[in-house]
Amino acid sequence: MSPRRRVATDYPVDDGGPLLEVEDLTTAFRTPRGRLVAVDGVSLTLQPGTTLGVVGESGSGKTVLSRSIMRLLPQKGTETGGRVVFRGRELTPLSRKELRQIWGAEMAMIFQDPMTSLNPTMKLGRQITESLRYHLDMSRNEAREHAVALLRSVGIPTPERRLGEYPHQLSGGLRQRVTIAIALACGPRLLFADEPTTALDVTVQAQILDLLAAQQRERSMTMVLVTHDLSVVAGRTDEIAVMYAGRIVERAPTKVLFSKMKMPYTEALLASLPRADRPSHTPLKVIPGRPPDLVDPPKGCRFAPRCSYAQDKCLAEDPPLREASPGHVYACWFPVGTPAGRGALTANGRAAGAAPADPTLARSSP
Amino acid sequence: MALMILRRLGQLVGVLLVVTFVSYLLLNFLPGNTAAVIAGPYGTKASIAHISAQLHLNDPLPVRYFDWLRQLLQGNLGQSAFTHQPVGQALAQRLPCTLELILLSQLIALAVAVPLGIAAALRPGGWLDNVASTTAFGLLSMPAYVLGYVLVIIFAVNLHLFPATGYVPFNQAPLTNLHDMVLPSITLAVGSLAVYLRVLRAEMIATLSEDYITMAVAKGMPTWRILTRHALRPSTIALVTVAALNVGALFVGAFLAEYIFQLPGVGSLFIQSIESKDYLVIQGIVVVVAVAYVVLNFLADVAQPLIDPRLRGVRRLG
Amino acid sequence: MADLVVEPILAADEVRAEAAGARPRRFKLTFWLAAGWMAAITFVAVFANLLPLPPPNKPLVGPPYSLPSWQYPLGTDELGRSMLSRVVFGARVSLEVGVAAIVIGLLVGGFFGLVAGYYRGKLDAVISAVANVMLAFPALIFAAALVAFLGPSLEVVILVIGVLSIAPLTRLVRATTLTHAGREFVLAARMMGYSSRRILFREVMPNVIPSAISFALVGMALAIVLEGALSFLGLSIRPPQPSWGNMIAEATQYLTQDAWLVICPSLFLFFTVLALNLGGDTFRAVFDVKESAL
Repeated sequence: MSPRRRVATDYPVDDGGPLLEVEDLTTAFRTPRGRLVAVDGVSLTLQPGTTLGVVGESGSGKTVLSRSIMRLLPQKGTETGGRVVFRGRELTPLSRKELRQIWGAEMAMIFQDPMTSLNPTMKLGRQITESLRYHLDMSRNEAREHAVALLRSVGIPTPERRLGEYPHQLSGGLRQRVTIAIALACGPRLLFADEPTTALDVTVQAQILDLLAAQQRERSMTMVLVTHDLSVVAGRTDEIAVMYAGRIVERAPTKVLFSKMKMPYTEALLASLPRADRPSHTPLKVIPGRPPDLVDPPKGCRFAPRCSYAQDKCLAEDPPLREASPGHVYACWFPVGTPAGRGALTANGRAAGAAPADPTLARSSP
Repeated sequence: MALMILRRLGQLVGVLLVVTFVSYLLLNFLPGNTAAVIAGPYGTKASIAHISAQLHLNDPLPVRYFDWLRQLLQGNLGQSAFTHQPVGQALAQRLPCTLELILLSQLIALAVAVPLGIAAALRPGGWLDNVASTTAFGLLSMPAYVLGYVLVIIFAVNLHLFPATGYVPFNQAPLTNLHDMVLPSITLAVGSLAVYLRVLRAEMIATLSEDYITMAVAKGMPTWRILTRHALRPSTIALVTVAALNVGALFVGAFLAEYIFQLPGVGSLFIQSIESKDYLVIQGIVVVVAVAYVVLNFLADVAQPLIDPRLRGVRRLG
Repeated sequence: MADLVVEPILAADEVRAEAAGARPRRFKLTFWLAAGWMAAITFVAVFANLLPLPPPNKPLVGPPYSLPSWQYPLGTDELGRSMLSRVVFGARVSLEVGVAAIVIGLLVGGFFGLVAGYYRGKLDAVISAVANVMLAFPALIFAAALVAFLGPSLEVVILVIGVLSIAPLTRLVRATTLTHAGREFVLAARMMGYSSRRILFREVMPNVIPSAISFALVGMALAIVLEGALSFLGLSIRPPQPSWGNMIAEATQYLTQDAWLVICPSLFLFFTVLALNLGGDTFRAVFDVKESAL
């Protein structure tokens, strides 16, 4: 087996440019019902060392997005479009063989459910040392030592013993730590964390997120945190992208998003979070309706059917992504906090006979 | 884990007792005077009396049974009414042939089913999958006594590639032995093959859709390695259970194959004994086969935790 | 190279929902072909006596070893008997055995399986233990032994095969009952105070029936194969009365002269078994019975 250590010449010099550039990425699946567009023209840029949060409901395409960027999609029945440039190197034309050099070594992913993302019949040690030996060409002993150190660094007690154990012998939180260790084993530059805490107990969630943040700092890694839960990304990301129906509908640095959001969907997402400072039994504000059919999406703004700001224009014309301030883009005809938006809201409120939405909800940061 | 095995052993002994008892009861089904029937058409008064005494036919059932069982454990299964050879001895003589047949057939079945199953699972619904699955389904519907003759017609009668009958012990002439065993082994292998293929394919498909396989792909592991190291082991868990359950059909097929191809194994002895009404031999073989089946299934049960670590019982929650 | 990245990628919920909508077509063409074959065979077997066929045992209906022709649709055997007649009457034997055995198996085995799976506890333990012991004896071997001891005849064969099919059916029905009896609606019914018997017959049984039918069809195929094996070994209907098994057995002597004599009954046996297997399989696919319910 020839050494597969990262070859510097594979990549253009790290000149301080963005780590990841995604241009107009599209992913569609051929299903019996038709062509389902899961990711529809997504563009984003990631600077090294930052954390991007991707937020959306189930069905928003956020999972498919991370897999599309990593090119981890089935070959049959999948169409992709657009470009992905990682460290100056275009990933789109690469073959599976070439991608395998990148997977694990440069880019890694951790999955949602630690129960199912670890092989139940394989010892934990093997699951870690495997990529060490394959990508970094370590000897068995080297890999073993490295694995122990990895386990220790993710906070697993008695790591030597764990090497010989099987996944079912650990609790959910520990399993997820192992998954993180496996993903980080070869020191990837970019980590996709796909709903890393959803399957875990609430008490453990914060620990895992803290662990991820710590590892990221130590390794100067870039991270994409995908979740449906805004509270997860609140204090832990530099930038947040909100996805709906396969598109990014708003993107902004975190503080800006929470204080100056423009997209009604973002506002609604925030409003649906349970709040500790509200009196008990306050009903949760859920967003009515369901995400649109991605095989045959509606004309116009895709969120319009469920939006409390929607006007006729929204149903007819698709709003383009516009810049509100540097680094903050959104797609809405009647954005939150603008005169147009407020007007739209009151117009709807009068029409439905209901009180307009509580404007104070959106203002305070979580 | 040790406690579990002990408990299972207890169950095993219990089942074996009942199984041997039922086998013993067979003799009681004989119409008329048991000893006379066993002695057969050439039985003399003396031999009838001898048999009667030997089998304690005048004693109550439990006594008879336990005496028979005791004899059984000492290896004494009675004597063939025909050849007057001790049944145990006859079985021992013929066992290697039957075992070789079974072994070869299983090797063939696995050698074909495993790669095919993996390949079919990689592209479910693809042409390979469809052809393999349909063929397997068809083969399952073809009993040994049909398939055997089909093979004979094609390969022996028409193509003259392999013999229709004939057997040479392995240690005498290994190559001839194997050559003669080709058709019988294939006849026997087909049934197992179809079953293994079906199970392995289904299990593989299920395994390949698990998150941990995608995780392995995301680690950059090569396909070959994922298939053999990551996916194969979880998929073979069910295979062991199925193989154990299949042992019964395997014995049946082996017996028929021996009859069709005239191999000197336990099966052909069984069938001959049925034709010649050699009851003690029949009973002896029934007991041996039943015990073998129970023991094999027991071993398969015990082997499960060896393959699937989740069944090993020791849980240390970290 | 092969593509390992399959379904889970598509488990992005939107796609999964779409894919789930496309269920397999209900009854495929192969099913109807199989059903047609079974219908034809059954019809012919039932009305064998009324059909314009030469008697199956009458020799020299035509020249021996005739190949299939317009006059003798399936040819004649070594004694000049009509293969068509013999195959038809052989079908009768196979179907009689198959149906009778399965009926016994379903009624007795199904009953015990339902009871064991529903009531659990000691009753289940006893029934399961007995079933497991019976299952320890490979079918043909035990059947052959029993028939040898009891004396070969069609009635004995039917009885033996019927008894042998009780245990597997008990096990299968028990497994299916277990899955269904554990469901919420049964627990709910219990809490509402319905009697066990009512729940068993009204709620659980209707759900068990589709799988029972599927097993029964496959079981019938197995019974026919078993009868074929028994008559092949001379333990069932005796020649000159035809059964598919003994036709094959007799014809092996003339293998080199006229392979058709072996192939003809083999084909009929094969297609019948295949048809029944297909039926059982289709039932399973349509009613979504898990194969792992063993």
